[in-house]
Amino acid sequence: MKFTRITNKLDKLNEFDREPVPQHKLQGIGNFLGIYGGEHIAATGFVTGILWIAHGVSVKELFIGAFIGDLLAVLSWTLITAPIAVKARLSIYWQLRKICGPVLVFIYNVVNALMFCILAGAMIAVSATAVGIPFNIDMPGLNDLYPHSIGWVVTVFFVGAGITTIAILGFKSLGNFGKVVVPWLFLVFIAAAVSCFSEVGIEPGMKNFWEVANNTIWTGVAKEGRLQFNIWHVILFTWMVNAAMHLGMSDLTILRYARKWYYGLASALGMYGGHYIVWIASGIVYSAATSDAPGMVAYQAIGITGAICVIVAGWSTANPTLYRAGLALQVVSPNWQRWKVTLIAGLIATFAAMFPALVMRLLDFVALYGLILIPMGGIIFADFYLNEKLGMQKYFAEKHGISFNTAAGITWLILLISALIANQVIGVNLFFLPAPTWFAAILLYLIFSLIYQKRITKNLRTI
Amino acid sequence: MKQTIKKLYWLRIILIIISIIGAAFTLVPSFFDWLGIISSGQSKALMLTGTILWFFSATYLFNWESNKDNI
Repeated sequence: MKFTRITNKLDKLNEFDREPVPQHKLQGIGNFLGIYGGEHIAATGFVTGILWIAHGVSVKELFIGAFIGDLLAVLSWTLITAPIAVKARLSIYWQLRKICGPVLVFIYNVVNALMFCILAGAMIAVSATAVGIPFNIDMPGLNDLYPHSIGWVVTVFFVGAGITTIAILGFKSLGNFGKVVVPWLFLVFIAAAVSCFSEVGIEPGMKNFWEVANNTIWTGVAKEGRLQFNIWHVILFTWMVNAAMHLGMSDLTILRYARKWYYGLASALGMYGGHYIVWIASGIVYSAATSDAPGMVAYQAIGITGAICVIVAGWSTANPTLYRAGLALQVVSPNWQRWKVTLIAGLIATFAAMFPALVMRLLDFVALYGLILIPMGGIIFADFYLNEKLGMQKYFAEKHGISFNTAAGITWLILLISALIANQVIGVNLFFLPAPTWFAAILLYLIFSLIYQKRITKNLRTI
Repeated sequence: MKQTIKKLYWLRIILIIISIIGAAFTLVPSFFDWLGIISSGQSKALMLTGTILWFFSATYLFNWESNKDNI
């Protein structure tokens, strides 16, 4: 009974896009260029650029590794996600519901909501590093994991409260403000890097750029307490930083409006304009700074504009993330209004933000986020392309009124446990796990589905 | 009605010009700073000016369709 109530609630929340997107609502590529450009020019990029230097990535490893990783990400969106999106024209919620059943989708929703809260928390913390500057707040260092001062906790609380309040008051109108912010952010990131050229020793004409990049900026030596990365860390992280969206298939929700599958190539604007350029720019800015806190780094480079940039970048990422978290959490709340669930999401995010680990270990968190959700993307891929070819049924849960597809559930659970063992016991770095996990999800789901579907259909015949 | 449309047209042109100036002031001073044409302090001041101009003009420009109904 309780599951039925939750199911109905979940369905009602997603009611507006229950049906496949009709032809007349499809959109041109310009819309997707805007979406991907806007989404990936963000505060996370600023922090990632800093962390590459901290982990001793060399200039060659960054420039080549990030290029390859971004290319793999673009190809994942274009060749894996977009073709399914334009054929099925369903959001990830309905696609998963047809395959896995409403109960498993509910669990997925809750996990996704928690991940969104933590990601929003990281962005609140980033903004707090800039807000705290005029008050001389003691900023967290690279190796700080826990709250280290009352000033930091209070600053994070007020920033989190502010962002949550704005999210409650009017997400839609503020979404328009996001359009204003993104082009400006891109310019500021570049301007901040150029401002630091003379500081790091890059001469006009840029003849000594590679020499400075090698010897001063991306030296290839990890900072104390940090794991030494190589090109494989860069390639795999860059590819999987948005794993939840491409191989994890959550961008089905966006790309279902695309006229053609190759609109997935629009993601290149986000990857190269957002990640690639911003990571390089923030690395240059960080190498000229005397702090590890993003706000202080930007402030030292370009003054108040830099501080505003970090505040705005953190806020513009946290706001929609908080909104999505609130939306996902609505399914567990007892008929609460949107503002109440957004408040809960904001409280969780603000509490998480008090731990500097969220910023200083952002690469690990983002890799973990992708790892947890990527198996579902493999399940969608397998179900869409391979189930019928192997004599099984597609959308099995929907066809047989099943609320929890055990084959999908067990696949997800086994892969999460395996990833945990691989990371914690064997010591495999998180960045190396999402790709094999996706392939393993396809294989395991097919095997379990063979057994599961045979058993269910046999039981139905017996009845 | 024609007067209002004409006014809106020129208002939009002005906002576009201010946005372009704002964007230029945000980016260009950093190059001048690097080339030693202006000081770091001057560069930061110009960038802040550009930021203010951009947010003032682009906010109206990017939301032109909804704002037009209110004018």
